[in-house]
Amino acid sequence: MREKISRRDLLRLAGGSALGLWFTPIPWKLLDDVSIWTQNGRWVTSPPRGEIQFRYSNCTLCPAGCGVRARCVGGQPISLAGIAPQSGSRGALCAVGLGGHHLRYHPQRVTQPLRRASGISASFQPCTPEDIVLTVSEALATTRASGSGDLAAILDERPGRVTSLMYRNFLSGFPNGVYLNPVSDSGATLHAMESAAEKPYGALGIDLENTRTILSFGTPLLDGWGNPARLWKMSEGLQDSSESHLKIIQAETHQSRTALLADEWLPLRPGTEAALALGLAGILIKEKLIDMAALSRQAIDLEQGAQGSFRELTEKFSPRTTAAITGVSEDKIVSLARELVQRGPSIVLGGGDPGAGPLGPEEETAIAALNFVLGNVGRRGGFLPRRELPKWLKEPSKNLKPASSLRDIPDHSIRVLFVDALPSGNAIPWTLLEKKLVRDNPVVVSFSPYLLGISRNAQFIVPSPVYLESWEEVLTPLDSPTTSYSLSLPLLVPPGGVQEPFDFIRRVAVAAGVHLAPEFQDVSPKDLFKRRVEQFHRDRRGTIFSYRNESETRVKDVASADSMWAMFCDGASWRDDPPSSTSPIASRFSLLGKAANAAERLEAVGHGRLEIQRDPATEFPLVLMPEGWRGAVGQNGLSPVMTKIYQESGLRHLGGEARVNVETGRRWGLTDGGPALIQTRCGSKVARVHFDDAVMPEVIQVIVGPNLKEFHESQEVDGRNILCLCNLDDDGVWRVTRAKMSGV
Amino acid sequence: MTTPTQKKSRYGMVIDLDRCNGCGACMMACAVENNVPPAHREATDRTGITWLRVYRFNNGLKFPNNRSVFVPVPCQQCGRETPCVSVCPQQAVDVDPATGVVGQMPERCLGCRYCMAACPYHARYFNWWDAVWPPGMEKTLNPDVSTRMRGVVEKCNFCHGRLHAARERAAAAGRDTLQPGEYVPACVEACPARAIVFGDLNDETSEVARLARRPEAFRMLEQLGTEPKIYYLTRQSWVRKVSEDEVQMARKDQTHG
Repeated sequence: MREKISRRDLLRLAGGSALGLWFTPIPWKLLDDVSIWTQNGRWVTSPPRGEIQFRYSNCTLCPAGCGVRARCVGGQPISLAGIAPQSGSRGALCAVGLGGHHLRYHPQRVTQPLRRASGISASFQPCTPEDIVLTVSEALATTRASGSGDLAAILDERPGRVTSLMYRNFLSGFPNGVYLNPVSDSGATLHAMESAAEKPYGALGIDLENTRTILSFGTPLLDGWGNPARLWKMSEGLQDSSESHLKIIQAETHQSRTALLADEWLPLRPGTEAALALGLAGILIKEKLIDMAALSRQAIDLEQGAQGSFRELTEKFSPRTTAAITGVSEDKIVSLARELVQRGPSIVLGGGDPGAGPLGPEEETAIAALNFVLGNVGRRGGFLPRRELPKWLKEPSKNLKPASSLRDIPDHSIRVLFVDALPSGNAIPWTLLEKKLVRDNPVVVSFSPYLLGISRNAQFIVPSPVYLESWEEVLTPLDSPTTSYSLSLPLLVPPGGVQEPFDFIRRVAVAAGVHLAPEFQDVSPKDLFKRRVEQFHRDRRGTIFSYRNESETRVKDVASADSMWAMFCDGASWRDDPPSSTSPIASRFSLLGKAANAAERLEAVGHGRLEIQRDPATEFPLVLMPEGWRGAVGQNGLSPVMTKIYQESGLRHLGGEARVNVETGRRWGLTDGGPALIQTRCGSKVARVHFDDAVMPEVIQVIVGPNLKEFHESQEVDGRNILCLCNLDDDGVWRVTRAKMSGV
Repeated sequence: MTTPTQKKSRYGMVIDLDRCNGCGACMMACAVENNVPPAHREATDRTGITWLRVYRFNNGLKFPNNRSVFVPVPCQQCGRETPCVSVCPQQAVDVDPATGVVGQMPERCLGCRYCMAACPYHARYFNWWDAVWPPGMEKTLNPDVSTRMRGVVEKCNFCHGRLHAARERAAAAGRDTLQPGEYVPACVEACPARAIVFGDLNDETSEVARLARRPEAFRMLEQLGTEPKIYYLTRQSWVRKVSEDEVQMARKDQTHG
C-alpha cells in the first residue's frame, strides 16, 4: 500500500537533508575546494617559470667583493649565494648581499635624470642628461675662468677602478680639479701605518691566518669588516680554552655584535682610544717587553724626532693615568700589554665602524705606533705588503690627478662636486660635504641608482646602474694580504635612461672642452677591463679561480688572453701569488706620524677626543655616538625584503633610532620604545629610544641606517639623517658629540 | 607517506648560539627562498611574517656585566604530540613520517589560527595582508614555492622545495636516498658563521646527531614533551635558562593580533 506523500513530508525531507548535510564531509569538502581554488586564482601572484640556470658574478655592495652564484629562471636571478671554495667567501653572503637581486626593484629607484628645484625639501623633477651636462659644463667653465680658487671635485668612494682613473684623468684637465678619496675608511689603521713609513711600503694587508691575538678598537671584525667570511673562518673557536685559537679583544664603548662574541670586551670611555694605545705602548717600552734594539733602529722618533719623543709621550700615559682616562682598570691595562707580547703575533686595529666614521688621525697614529712597537710590519701574523695590480695603462702622473682627502680641502671651496655613489659601505654625513661647498649655488651631481642619502641633497641625480646591471671591477679587500681582482657581471639589462658614470663624465668632458687621454676615448669600461685582464695574462702572475668549475688554474697555464677573458666573463677571480718571504721590512718609520705638532696633538687627543670636542658638559651632559652596519648606513638601497630584519623582527634598529642605558633613560624621563628629543649644538631630532644595558651610562648610541620610509613606495625620505646632529671637527671626525635628551 | 625505497629520516638542526651574531643572513635567505613578501607598511613584529626569527635575549645585568645572545627560532618541528597538528580542523598541518618535517599546506588553511594559539614556540605566522611585491619584483620569486594569500597561516618547513629538488636530483642519479649535505635549508646555507648544522638525526654518524648529543645541547621548553628537532648549543648557562623563560614570556606578550 502506498502512503500519500504530503507536502509536510517533503518539507521534513528537505529540512532533514539540510540539517544532515552538516554532519557529512560535503560542506567541509566544499569549503576546502573553495579555499584551494581561491588561493590558486589569477589574483594570486605566481612565480615565473622558465629554464633554470646558474650564472656567476661578484658582489659590489661593499668592498669585500664576495663571489656570487645566481640561480636564474629564464635569465632572471631569483636567488644569490656565495661561492663555497672561493678563498675567503666560504659560500656565504651577508644579509645585504643575499637581497642584491632585488635592488633593481627598489621603491626609491631612479631611472631618469632628476633635478632639484631649490631648497632641501623641494621635490625633484625629471630632466634630460643634456640639461645636466649643460649646467655642469657652464659651472666648470666659470670655475676655470674666474681664477677664484673654486674647485671642481669628484668624490670616489671606491678608488682604484678603471672608472676612477678616468675621473682622475678628467680632473687633470682642470688646474683646480680635486680627486677625493673615501670620507670614512675601514682600513684607516693600515693607511696610517703606510703613511708613517719613511719609504713607502705600498699597500698593506693582514696575515690573519697566522695572527693569534687581535686588539680591536671598535673595529666590527665579526659584523661586516674586511672580508666577513674570512674573519668568521679565522674566529672559529672563539672563547675556546685552547692556546692556539685566535683571540679577539674588543675595546669599545658599547657592546657591539663583535664585542658580544669576542673573547674579551673592554668598555672604553668615549673618545679614549688614543690613551689606551699610548698607555699600552708605554708599558711595552718601559718593561722592555719588545725587541728594543730593533725598535730603536727603525723608529725615527722613539727618543727624539722632528715632532718630539714618543717615549716621553708614552710616559705621560702611565697605567694609572690611562686607567683614569679610559675607565679600564690599571691591572687590566698592564696585563693586556703583557698578553699582546706573550700571545703573539698580535695585531691592533682601529675604527672601521661604518656609521661612526673615522677614529681621527691622532687615534690612528697611536694605534699604528702600537703596531710598530709590537714589530708587526712585515712579519708572519702581522701586516704584509702586497703587490700592486699589474700595470695596464701608461699612467703619466701629469694626466692623473693625485688623490686628496676631504679633510685637506678648505671649507666652502668646491663649486662643482660629482659624487660616485658606488657603495663603500660607510656613512657620509651630508654636513661634511656641505661644509666644503661654496655658499652660492654649488652644483652637486650624484651618480646614484636611488633617491637616497647624499642624492637627496644633490642638485642633480644621474641614474646609474644598480648592482648586477653593469660591468664593474672588484678590487682587493682591505684586509687581504694578497692582491686580487674580479669582475661584477651584468646579469640584468638596465632600464632605459640609466647612465654609466663613465659615459656621463665623458660627455661632460666633451662639453667642457677637456681632452681625455686616448685610452678613455671611444671605449666602454668593459673594453678597458679586458685590457687589464690581458695584462694579467702577459704578466703570468697568480692564479685564476673559476666559479662554475670550482677549479683553480695558474695564469701561466691559461692558453691565451682571450681564454682568460672568457673565464672572467663566466665568473672568476684572480689572485696574486703569495709573497715569497715574510721578513721584517727595513724601512724606518715615525711613531708620532708626520703631522706638525704631532706629540702635542696626540697628548691632547689622548685625554679623550679633545675632551669631547671641547664642548662643556654642563649644557650637554651626554655623549652621542653613531653606529652602523656596513652596507646598510642609509647611503644606498637595501632589498625590500630586509624589512624582515628592520621592521618585522627588530633584529636591527632603524636609522635614527637611539639606544641608551636603562638608568640614563629613566633619569632623563624617557620611556622604552618612546620618542625622545635629542639635541646637540648642530641641531635636534626626535628619535625612538630603546633602553639597553649594553650601552654605557651617559652615552646615546644613535643608529645610522635605513629609514623605514625608504622601503615603502611613494614616501618621501628625508635626506638629512641623524649624522646631521654630529659635531664635525676640522679633521672630519664625527664619532663623539656632546648631547642632551628629553621626552617628547 | 613512506615509500619502500625511502629510508625513514628525522631531519633536524643544531644551532650554536655562541657563534651567532644576529647578522640576519638566515632570515633574509629564508624569506628569499620561500617567497615571503616584504613587510606591509603597517606590519610590526607582531604581525610580520618571518619563518625564521632571530630574537635577542639578555642576561638582565647592568652595564658592563650585561650580555646578550641571539637565538634563531624557526618552527621547532615537534616530533611528539605536535600541538599545531592536533588542533587544525582542516588537516592543513601534518608530520611527514618519511622526514619528520611538520608541513603546512596554506591552500587548505582556513585561517582560524588555532595552530598559532597552540604553538608554544611562537613560530607560526598569519597573513594579515595580501602579499605584495614592488612592481617587477615578482619576477624574482622562487618557482619551487607557491605564494600565499591573505588569511592563511604559514611557517618554516625546512625548505620543502629544496627537499623535492634534492630527491629529484638523487632519482636522476639513480639513487633512492639522499646523501648527507645534499639537502640543506636556505638558512643553513646562508649562515656565514656556520652556526646552523642540519641533517638526519636518525643517522648516528651525522654531524647534527653528534652535536645534538653534546652536553651543552638543549631544546626549548623540553618539559612540554613535544620533542622538538631543533637543538641549541651554548656554553653559557644563563642563555639556556633565559631562552626557555623568554619564549614563554614572548608567548604571553605576543598574540599575533
